[in-house]
Amino acid sequence: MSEQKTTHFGYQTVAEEEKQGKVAEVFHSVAAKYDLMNDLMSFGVHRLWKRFTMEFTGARKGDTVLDIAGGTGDLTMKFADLVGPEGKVVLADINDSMLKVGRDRLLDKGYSGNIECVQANAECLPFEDNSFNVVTMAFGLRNVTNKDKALAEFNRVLKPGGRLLVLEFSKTNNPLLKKAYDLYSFSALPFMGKLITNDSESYRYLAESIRMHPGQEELKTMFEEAGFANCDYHNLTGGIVALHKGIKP
Amino acid sequence: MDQTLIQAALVSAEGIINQALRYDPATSQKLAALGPKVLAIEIEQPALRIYVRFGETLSLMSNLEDEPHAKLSGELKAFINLATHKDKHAALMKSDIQIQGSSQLAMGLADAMDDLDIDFEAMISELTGPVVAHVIGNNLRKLGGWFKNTTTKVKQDSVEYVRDELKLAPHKLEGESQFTAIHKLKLDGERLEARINRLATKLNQAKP
Repeated sequence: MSEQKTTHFGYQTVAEEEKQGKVAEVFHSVAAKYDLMNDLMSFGVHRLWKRFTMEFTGARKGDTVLDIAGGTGDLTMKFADLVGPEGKVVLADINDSMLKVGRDRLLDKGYSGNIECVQANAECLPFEDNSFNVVTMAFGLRNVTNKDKALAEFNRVLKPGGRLLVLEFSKTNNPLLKKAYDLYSFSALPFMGKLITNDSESYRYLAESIRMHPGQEELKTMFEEAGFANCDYHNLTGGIVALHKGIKP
Repeated sequence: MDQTLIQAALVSAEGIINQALRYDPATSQKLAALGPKVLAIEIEQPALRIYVRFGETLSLMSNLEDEPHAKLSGELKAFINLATHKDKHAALMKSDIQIQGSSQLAMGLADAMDDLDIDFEAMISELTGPVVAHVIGNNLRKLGGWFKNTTTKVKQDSVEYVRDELKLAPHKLEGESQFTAIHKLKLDGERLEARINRLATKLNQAKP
Protein backbone atom coordinates (compact mmCIF):
# COMPACT_ATOMS: atom_id res chain seq x y z
CA MET A 1 0.00 0.00 0.00
CA SER A 2 1.47 3.41 -1.00
CA GLU A 3 2.00 6.03 1.73
CA GLN A 4 -0.28 9.09 1.49
CA LYS A 5 1.60 12.34 0.76
CA THR A 6 1.02 15.07 3.34
CA THR A 7 1.55 18.81 3.53
CA HIS A 8 0.96 21.71 5.92
CA PHE A 9 -2.27 23.57 6.31
CA GLY A 10 -1.19 26.12 8.89
CA TYR A 11 0.07 24.04 11.81
CA GLN A 12 -2.02 21.02 10.79
CA THR A 13 -0.69 18.20 8.66
CA VAL A 14 -3.19 17.25 5.96
CA ALA A 15 -3.20 15.03 2.89
CA GLU A 16 -1.90 16.92 -0.16
CA GLU A 17 -5.17 16.66 -2.02
CA GLU A 18 -7.04 18.17 0.95
CA LYS A 19 -5.02 21.40 1.22
CA GLN A 20 -6.37 23.01 -1.94
CA GLY A 21 -9.96 22.56 -0.77
CA LYS A 22 -9.20 23.88 2.70
CA VAL A 23 -7.41 26.96 1.33
CA ALA A 24 -10.35 27.50 -1.02
CA GLU A 25 -12.72 27.48 1.98
CA VAL A 26 -10.61 30.14 3.70
CA PHE A 27 -10.69 32.46 0.70
CA HIS A 28 -14.38 31.89 -0.08
CA SER A 29 -15.01 32.97 3.48
CA VAL A 30 -12.88 36.14 3.44
CA ALA A 31 -13.25 37.25 -0.24
CA ALA A 32 -15.97 39.85 0.32
CA LYS A 33 -14.01 41.74 2.99
CA TYR A 34 -10.51 40.83 1.81
CA ASP A 35 -9.39 44.39 1.00
CA LEU A 36 -10.81 45.86 4.17
CA MET A 37 -9.14 43.15 6.26
CA ASN A 38 -5.82 43.62 4.46
CA ASP A 39 -5.88 47.33 5.20
CA LEU A 40 -6.82 46.77 8.82
CA MET A 41 -4.38 43.93 9.47
CA SER A 42 -1.38 45.61 7.89
CA PHE A 43 -2.40 49.20 8.76
CA GLY A 44 -2.34 49.86 5.01
CA VAL A 45 1.33 48.86 4.72
CA HIS A 46 0.50 46.10 2.21
CA ARG A 47 0.02 48.89 -0.34
CA LEU A 48 3.62 50.03 0.25
CA TRP A 49 4.91 46.45 -0.14
CA LYS A 50 3.03 46.13 -3.45
CA ARG A 51 4.30 49.53 -4.58
CA PHE A 52 7.85 48.37 -3.88
CA THR A 53 7.19 45.21 -5.92
CA MET A 54 6.14 47.31 -8.91
CA GLU A 55 9.53 49.06 -8.90
CA PHE A 56 11.20 45.74 -9.74
CA THR A 57 8.92 44.53 -12.51
CA GLY A 58 10.65 46.38 -15.33
CA ALA A 59 7.30 46.17 -17.19
CA ARG A 60 7.02 48.37 -20.26
CA LYS A 61 4.33 49.44 -22.69
CA GLY A 62 3.14 46.44 -24.74
CA ASP A 63 4.30 43.77 -22.24
CA THR A 64 2.26 40.74 -21.24
CA VAL A 65 1.95 40.20 -17.50
CA LEU A 66 0.53 37.39 -15.38
CA ASP A 67 -0.67 38.37 -11.90
CA ILE A 68 -1.24 34.93 -10.39
CA ALA A 69 -3.17 34.70 -7.12
CA GLY A 70 -3.99 38.29 -8.01
CA GLY A 71 -7.04 38.29 -5.76
CA THR A 72 -8.68 41.68 -5.74
CA GLY A 73 -6.42 43.02 -8.48
CA ASP A 74 -4.18 45.55 -6.68
CA LEU A 75 -1.14 44.74 -8.84
CA THR A 76 -3.24 44.11 -11.96
CA MET A 77 -4.43 47.73 -11.93
CA LYS A 78 -0.89 49.07 -11.66
CA PHE A 79 0.26 46.76 -14.46
CA ALA A 80 -2.67 47.75 -16.69
CA ASP A 81 -1.51 51.39 -16.45
CA LEU A 82 2.10 50.44 -17.15
CA VAL A 83 1.64 48.14 -20.16
CA GLY A 84 -0.97 50.38 -21.78
CA PRO A 85 -3.64 49.38 -24.31
CA GLU A 86 -1.10 47.57 -26.49
CA GLY A 87 -0.13 45.27 -23.59
CA LYS A 88 -2.07 42.62 -21.69
CA VAL A 89 -2.48 41.72 -18.03
CA VAL A 90 -3.91 38.38 -16.93
CA LEU A 91 -5.46 38.40 -13.48
CA ALA A 92 -5.50 34.77 -12.39
CA ASP A 93 -6.68 33.18 -9.17
CA ILE A 94 -7.61 29.65 -8.23
CA ASN A 95 -10.49 30.90 -6.12
CA ASP A 96 -13.57 32.02 -8.04
CA SER A 97 -14.90 34.12 -5.16
CA MET A 98 -11.69 36.15 -5.06
CA LEU A 99 -11.61 36.41 -8.85
CA LYS A 100 -15.19 37.71 -8.94
CA VAL A 101 -14.39 40.36 -6.34
CA GLY A 102 -11.24 41.31 -8.31
CA ARG A 103 -13.04 41.46 -11.67
CA ASP A 104 -15.87 43.62 -10.26
CA ARG A 105 -13.42 45.93 -8.56
CA LEU A 106 -11.43 46.39 -11.79
CA LEU A 107 -14.59 47.19 -13.74
CA ASP A 108 -15.79 49.58 -11.05
CA LYS A 109 -12.48 51.44 -11.30
CA GLY A 110 -12.77 51.66 -15.08
CA TYR A 111 -10.21 49.02 -16.02
CA SER A 112 -11.01 46.92 -19.07
CA GLY A 113 -9.66 46.19 -22.51
CA ASN A 114 -6.16 45.09 -21.63
CA ILE A 115 -7.14 42.82 -18.71
CA GLU A 116 -8.23 39.17 -18.79
CA CYS A 117 -9.53 37.31 -15.74
CA VAL A 118 -8.71 33.61 -15.64
CA GLN A 119 -9.43 31.01 -12.97
CA ALA A 120 -6.18 29.08 -12.81
CA ASN A 121 -4.18 26.83 -10.52
CA ALA A 122 -0.56 27.96 -10.14
CA GLU A 123 0.59 24.33 -10.29
CA CYS A 124 -0.81 23.75 -13.80
CA LEU A 125 -1.18 27.07 -15.60
CA PRO A 126 -3.42 27.10 -18.68
CA PHE A 127 -0.97 29.19 -20.73
CA GLU A 128 1.50 28.42 -23.49
CA ASP A 129 5.24 28.25 -22.88
CA ASN A 130 7.16 31.55 -23.12
CA SER A 131 4.10 33.78 -23.09
CA PHE A 132 4.71 36.38 -20.35
CA ASN A 133 7.28 39.12 -19.77
CA VAL A 134 6.51 39.29 -16.07
CA VAL A 135 4.86 36.93 -13.58
CA THR A 136 3.97 38.22 -10.13
CA MET A 137 2.47 36.49 -7.13
CA ALA A 138 1.68 38.58 -4.08
CA PHE A 139 0.85 36.75 -0.84
CA GLY A 140 -0.17 33.59 -2.67
CA LEU A 141 2.75 31.17 -2.72
CA ARG A 142 2.35 30.02 0.88
CA ASN A 143 -1.14 28.73 0.04
CA VAL A 144 0.10 26.61 -2.85
CA THR A 145 0.33 22.89 -2.03
CA ASN A 146 3.30 22.09 -4.26
CA LYS A 147 5.44 25.22 -4.39
CA ASP A 148 8.20 23.65 -6.51
CA LYS A 149 5.68 22.68 -9.13
CA ALA A 150 4.25 26.21 -9.18
CA LEU A 151 7.70 27.79 -9.53
CA ALA A 152 8.47 25.41 -12.43
CA GLU A 153 5.21 26.46 -14.08
CA PHE A 154 6.07 30.15 -13.69
CA ASN A 155 9.39 29.40 -15.34
CA ARG A 156 7.65 27.59 -18.21
CA VAL A 157 5.20 30.40 -19.03
CA LEU A 158 7.80 33.18 -18.76
CA LYS A 159 9.60 34.35 -21.89
CA PRO A 160 13.39 34.02 -21.77
CA GLY A 161 14.62 37.12 -19.95
CA GLY A 162 11.23 37.46 -18.25
CA ARG A 163 11.09 37.93 -14.52
CA LEU A 164 9.26 36.33 -11.64
CA LEU A 165 8.45 38.41 -8.56
CA VAL A 166 7.06 36.76 -5.47
CA LEU A 167 5.98 38.98 -2.58
CA GLU A 168 5.35 36.90 0.50
CA PHE A 169 5.45 36.93 4.28
CA SER A 170 8.83 35.81 5.52
CA LYS A 171 11.02 35.59 8.61
CA THR A 172 12.31 38.45 10.70
CA ASN A 173 15.67 38.20 12.49
CA ASN A 174 14.87 40.99 14.92
CA PRO A 175 13.93 39.25 18.23
CA LEU A 176 11.89 42.20 19.51
CA LEU A 177 9.97 42.58 16.29
CA LYS A 178 9.42 38.81 16.19
CA LYS A 179 7.88 38.84 19.67
CA ALA A 180 5.57 41.74 18.86
CA TYR A 181 4.68 40.20 15.51
CA ASP A 182 3.85 36.81 17.07
CA LEU A 183 1.69 38.43 19.71
CA TYR A 184 -0.09 40.50 17.08
CA SER A 185 -0.67 37.69 14.60
CA PHE A 186 -1.84 35.02 17.04
CA SER A 187 -3.98 37.28 19.25
CA ALA A 188 -5.07 40.38 17.37
CA LEU A 189 -5.52 38.91 13.88
CA PRO A 190 -8.02 36.13 14.78
CA PHE A 191 -9.89 38.65 16.96
CA MET A 192 -10.13 41.15 14.07
CA GLY A 193 -11.18 38.31 11.76
CA LYS A 194 -13.94 37.33 14.17
CA LEU A 195 -15.10 40.92 14.50
CA ILE A 196 -15.19 41.82 10.81
CA THR A 197 -15.74 38.61 8.83
CA ASN A 198 -17.10 36.50 11.70
CA ASP A 199 -14.35 34.00 10.94
CA SER A 200 -11.40 33.78 13.33
CA GLU A 201 -10.20 30.40 12.01
CA SER A 202 -9.27 31.77 8.57
CA TYR A 203 -7.09 34.40 10.19
CA ARG A 204 -5.55 31.85 12.56
CA TYR A 205 -4.66 29.88 9.39
CA LEU A 206 -3.12 33.06 7.93
CA ALA A 207 -0.80 33.45 10.94
CA GLU A 208 0.09 29.74 10.98
CA SER A 209 0.68 29.50 7.24
CA ILE A 210 3.11 32.44 7.46
CA ARG A 211 5.15 30.58 10.10
CA MET A 212 5.23 27.41 7.97
CA HIS A 213 6.30 29.23 4.79
CA PRO A 214 9.98 28.89 3.77
CA GLY A 215 12.33 31.66 4.91
CA GLN A 216 14.24 34.00 2.61
CA GLU A 217 17.25 31.79 1.87
CA GLU A 218 15.17 28.62 1.50
CA LEU A 219 12.84 30.26 -1.01
CA LYS A 220 15.81 31.69 -2.90
CA THR A 221 17.20 28.14 -3.25
CA MET A 222 13.77 26.97 -4.48
CA PHE A 223 13.88 29.70 -7.15
CA GLU A 224 17.31 28.52 -8.27
CA GLU A 225 16.20 24.89 -8.33
CA ALA A 226 13.21 25.88 -10.50
CA GLY A 227 15.68 27.20 -13.09
CA PHE A 228 15.71 30.92 -12.34
CA ALA A 229 18.90 33.00 -12.59
CA ASN A 230 19.99 36.18 -10.76
CA CYS A 231 17.82 35.16 -7.80
CA ASP A 232 17.68 37.73 -5.07
CA TYR A 233 15.37 39.02 -2.34
CA HIS A 234 14.68 42.27 -0.52
CA ASN A 235 13.44 42.31 3.05
CA LEU A 236 10.64 44.69 3.90
CA THR A 237 9.51 45.86 7.35
CA GLY A 238 12.37 44.08 9.07
CA GLY A 239 11.87 40.85 7.10
CA ILE A 240 8.18 40.38 7.93
CA VAL A 241 7.73 40.42 4.18
CA ALA A 242 10.27 39.66 1.44
CA LEU A 243 10.23 40.33 -2.27
CA HIS A 244 11.90 37.49 -4.21
CA LYS A 245 13.09 38.01 -7.76
CA GLY A 246 14.32 35.59 -10.42
CA ILE A 247 15.01 35.87 -14.15
CA LYS A 248 14.28 33.09 -16.64
CA PRO A 249 17.58 32.55 -18.48
CA MET B 1 16.64 52.61 5.98
CA ASP B 2 13.81 50.09 5.64
CA GLN B 3 12.19 50.20 2.22
CA THR B 4 8.73 50.39 3.79
CA LEU B 5 9.60 53.80 5.27
CA ILE B 6 11.13 54.95 1.99
CA GLN B 7 7.98 53.87 0.12
CA ALA B 8 5.82 55.70 2.68
CA ALA B 9 7.85 58.89 2.15
CA LEU B 10 7.68 58.52 -1.64
CA VAL B 11 3.94 57.86 -1.70
CA SER B 12 3.33 60.95 0.46
CA ALA B 13 5.58 63.18 -1.66
CA GLU B 14 4.02 61.82 -4.86
CA GLY B 15 0.53 62.54 -3.52
CA ILE B 16 1.40 66.12 -2.54
CA ILE B 17 3.12 66.88 -5.87
CA ASN B 18 0.32 65.41 -8.00
CA GLN B 19 -2.31 67.17 -5.91
CA ALA B 20 -0.50 70.50 -6.33
CA LEU B 21 -0.03 69.97 -10.08
CA ARG B 22 -3.80 69.60 -10.46
CA TYR B 23 -3.95 73.35 -9.81
CA ASP B 24 -1.44 74.19 -12.56
CA PRO B 25 -2.76 72.45 -15.70
CA ALA B 26 -0.20 74.13 -18.01
CA THR B 27 2.80 72.71 -16.10
CA SER B 28 0.98 69.43 -15.67
CA GLN B 29 0.56 69.17 -19.46
CA LYS B 30 4.23 69.99 -20.08
CA LEU B 31 5.28 67.28 -17.62
CA ALA B 32 2.86 64.76 -19.16
CA ALA B 33 4.45 65.43 -22.56
CA LEU B 34 7.78 64.18 -21.14
CA GLY B 35 6.23 60.75 -20.40
CA PRO B 36 6.87 57.89 -20.20
CA LYS B 37 10.50 58.91 -19.69
CA VAL B 38 12.28 58.47 -16.36
CA LEU B 39 14.66 60.95 -14.76
CA ALA B 40 17.04 59.93 -11.97
CA ILE B 41 17.90 62.52 -9.32
CA GLU B 42 21.03 61.58 -7.41
CA ILE B 43 21.95 63.67 -4.40
CA GLU B 44 25.48 63.03 -3.16
CA GLN B 45 25.34 64.32 0.39
CA PRO B 46 23.18 62.96 1.96
CA ALA B 47 23.22 60.00 -0.45
CA LEU B 48 19.78 59.73 -2.00
CA ARG B 49 18.54 58.53 -5.37
CA ILE B 50 15.00 59.05 -6.62
CA TYR B 51 13.53 58.19 -9.99
CA VAL B 52 10.76 60.32 -11.45
CA ARG B 53 8.53 58.77 -14.12
CA PHE B 54 6.68 61.40 -16.12
CA GLY B 55 3.14 60.90 -17.37
CA GLU B 56 -0.39 62.08 -16.63
CA THR B 57 0.74 62.01 -13.01
CA LEU B 58 4.29 61.92 -11.66
CA SER B 59 5.52 58.68 -10.09
CA LEU B 60 8.39 58.63 -7.62
CA MET B 61 10.42 55.45 -7.23
CA SER B 62 13.42 54.31 -5.21
CA ASN B 63 14.45 51.57 -7.67
CA LEU B 64 14.45 51.20 -11.42
CA GLU B 65 15.22 48.03 -13.33
CA ASP B 66 16.07 49.84 -16.60
CA GLU B 67 18.47 52.70 -17.21
CA PRO B 68 16.88 56.14 -16.68
CA HIS B 69 16.62 58.39 -19.74
CA ALA B 70 18.54 61.13 -17.92
CA LYS B 71 20.32 61.61 -14.60
CA LEU B 72 20.90 64.77 -12.60
CA SER B 73 23.56 64.42 -9.92
CA GLY B 74 25.05 66.87 -7.47
CA GLU B 75 25.03 68.08 -3.90
CA LEU B 76 21.81 68.93 -2.07
CA LYS B 77 22.87 72.61 -2.00
CA ALA B 78 23.03 72.71 -5.79
CA PHE B 79 19.51 71.26 -6.08
CA ILE B 80 18.15 73.74 -3.52
CA ASN B 81 19.79 76.60 -5.47
CA LEU B 82 18.21 75.30 -8.65
CA ALA B 83 14.78 74.97 -7.04
CA THR B 84 14.86 78.55 -5.72
CA HIS B 85 16.27 80.12 -8.90
CA LYS B 86 13.76 81.94 -11.12
CA ASP B 87 15.28 80.96 -14.47
CA LYS B 88 15.74 77.25 -13.93
CA HIS B 89 16.86 76.65 -17.50
CA ALA B 90 19.81 79.04 -17.12
CA ALA B 91 20.46 77.93 -13.53
CA LEU B 92 20.70 74.29 -14.59
CA MET B 93 23.28 75.16 -17.26
CA LYS B 94 25.40 77.17 -14.81
CA SER B 95 24.99 74.98 -11.72
CA ASP B 96 27.24 72.24 -10.30
CA ILE B 97 24.58 69.66 -11.20
CA GLN B 98 25.82 67.11 -13.70
CA ILE B 99 23.48 66.01 -16.48
CA GLN B 100 23.91 62.55 -17.97
CA GLY B 101 21.79 61.00 -20.70
CA SER B 102 19.07 62.96 -22.48
CA SER B 103 19.71 66.64 -21.71
CA GLN B 104 16.46 67.32 -23.59
CA LEU B 105 14.53 65.64 -20.76
CA ALA B 106 16.37 67.64 -18.08
CA MET B 107 15.79 70.88 -20.00
CA GLY B 108 12.15 69.92 -20.57
CA LEU B 109 11.73 69.58 -16.82
CA ALA B 110 13.50 72.91 -16.22
CA ASP B 111 11.23 74.60 -18.78
CA ALA B 112 8.12 73.17 -17.16
CA MET B 113 9.25 74.24 -13.68
CA ASP B 114 10.09 77.77 -14.92
CA ASP B 115 6.39 78.42 -15.52
CA LEU B 116 5.17 76.66 -12.38
CA ASP B 117 2.24 78.63 -11.04
CA ILE B 118 0.07 76.67 -8.64
CA ASP B 119 -3.32 78.24 -8.04
CA PHE B 120 -3.40 77.92 -4.26
CA GLU B 121 -6.59 79.97 -4.09
CA ALA B 122 -8.40 77.32 -6.18
CA MET B 123 -6.96 74.65 -3.86
CA ILE B 124 -8.29 76.44 -0.77
CA SER B 125 -11.64 77.19 -2.44
CA GLU B 126 -12.34 73.46 -2.77
CA LEU B 127 -12.30 73.25 1.01
CA THR B 128 -13.79 76.59 1.98
CA GLY B 129 -15.74 77.93 -1.01
CA PRO B 130 -14.70 80.84 -3.32
CA VAL B 131 -15.45 83.83 -1.05
CA VAL B 132 -13.47 82.61 1.94
CA ALA B 133 -10.69 81.40 -0.38
CA HIS B 134 -10.45 84.86 -1.98
CA VAL B 135 -10.17 86.55 1.43
CA ILE B 136 -7.54 84.02 2.58
CA GLY B 137 -5.72 84.39 -0.78
CA ASN B 138 -5.64 88.22 -0.50
CA ASN B 139 -4.32 88.07 3.05
CA LEU B 140 -1.72 85.47 2.11
CA ARG B 141 -0.58 87.62 -0.82
CA LYS B 142 -0.34 90.66 1.50
CA LEU B 143 1.58 88.58 4.04
CA GLY B 144 3.89 87.30 1.29
CA GLY B 145 4.55 90.87 0.07
CA TRP B 146 5.20 92.11 3.61
CA PHE B 147 7.55 89.15 4.27
CA LYS B 148 9.48 89.82 1.03
CA ASN B 149 9.83 93.55 1.76
CA THR B 150 10.81 92.95 5.37
CA THR B 151 13.44 90.37 4.39
CA THR B 152 14.97 92.76 1.84
CA LYS B 153 14.92 95.64 4.34
CA VAL B 154 16.43 93.57 7.17
CA LYS B 155 19.17 92.40 4.81
CA GLN B 156 19.89 95.99 3.71
CA ASP B 157 19.80 97.40 7.28
CA SER B 158 22.07 94.71 8.69
CA VAL B 159 24.67 95.39 5.98
CA GLU B 160 24.55 99.12 6.78
CA TYR B 161 24.74 98.47 10.55
CA VAL B 162 27.79 96.21 10.24
CA ARG B 163 29.50 98.65 7.85
CA ASP B 164 28.55 102.10 9.17
CA GLU B 165 27.82 101.60 12.89
CA LEU B 166 30.07 98.75 13.94
CA LYS B 167 32.69 99.61 11.30
CA LEU B 168 33.43 95.90 10.95
CA ALA B 169 33.36 95.94 7.15
CA PRO B 170 34.40 98.60 4.61
CA HIS B 171 32.01 100.24 2.16
CA LYS B 172 31.75 98.50 -1.20
CA LEU B 173 33.61 101.36 -2.97
CA GLU B 174 36.32 101.40 -0.27
CA GLY B 175 36.76 97.68 -0.65
CA GLU B 176 36.94 97.90 -4.42
CA SER B 177 39.52 100.73 -4.21
CA GLN B 178 41.55 98.67 -1.70
CA PHE B 179 41.46 95.61 -3.97
CA THR B 180 42.51 97.72 -6.98
CA ALA B 181 45.47 99.08 -4.99
CA ILE B 182 46.46 95.54 -3.91
CA HIS B 183 46.20 94.36 -7.49
CA LYS B 184 48.34 97.31 -8.71
CA LEU B 185 50.92 96.55 -5.99
CA LYS B 186 50.99 92.91 -7.09
CA LEU B 187 51.60 93.92 -10.72
CA ASP B 188 54.32 96.42 -9.65
CA GLY B 189 55.99 93.69 -7.60
CA GLU B 190 55.95 91.32 -10.56
CA ARG B 191 57.42 94.01 -12.83
CA LEU B 192 60.17 94.77 -10.28
CA GLU B 193 60.95 91.07 -9.98
CA ALA B 194 61.26 90.81 -13.79
CA ARG B 195 63.62 93.81 -13.91
CA ILE B 196 65.85 92.41 -11.14
CA ASN B 197 65.97 89.07 -12.98
CA ARG B 198 66.89 90.84 -16.23
CA LEU B 199 69.61 92.85 -14.44
CA ALA B 200 70.98 89.69 -12.80
CA THR B 201 71.12 87.96 -16.21
CA LYS B 202 72.97 90.93 -17.75
CA LEU B 203 75.48 91.01 -14.86
CA ASN B 204 76.12 87.28 -15.25
CA GLN B 205 76.66 87.70 -18.99
CA ALA B 206 79.03 90.69 -18.42
CA LYS B 207 81.36 88.62 -16.17
CA PRO B 208 84.55 87.53 -17.99
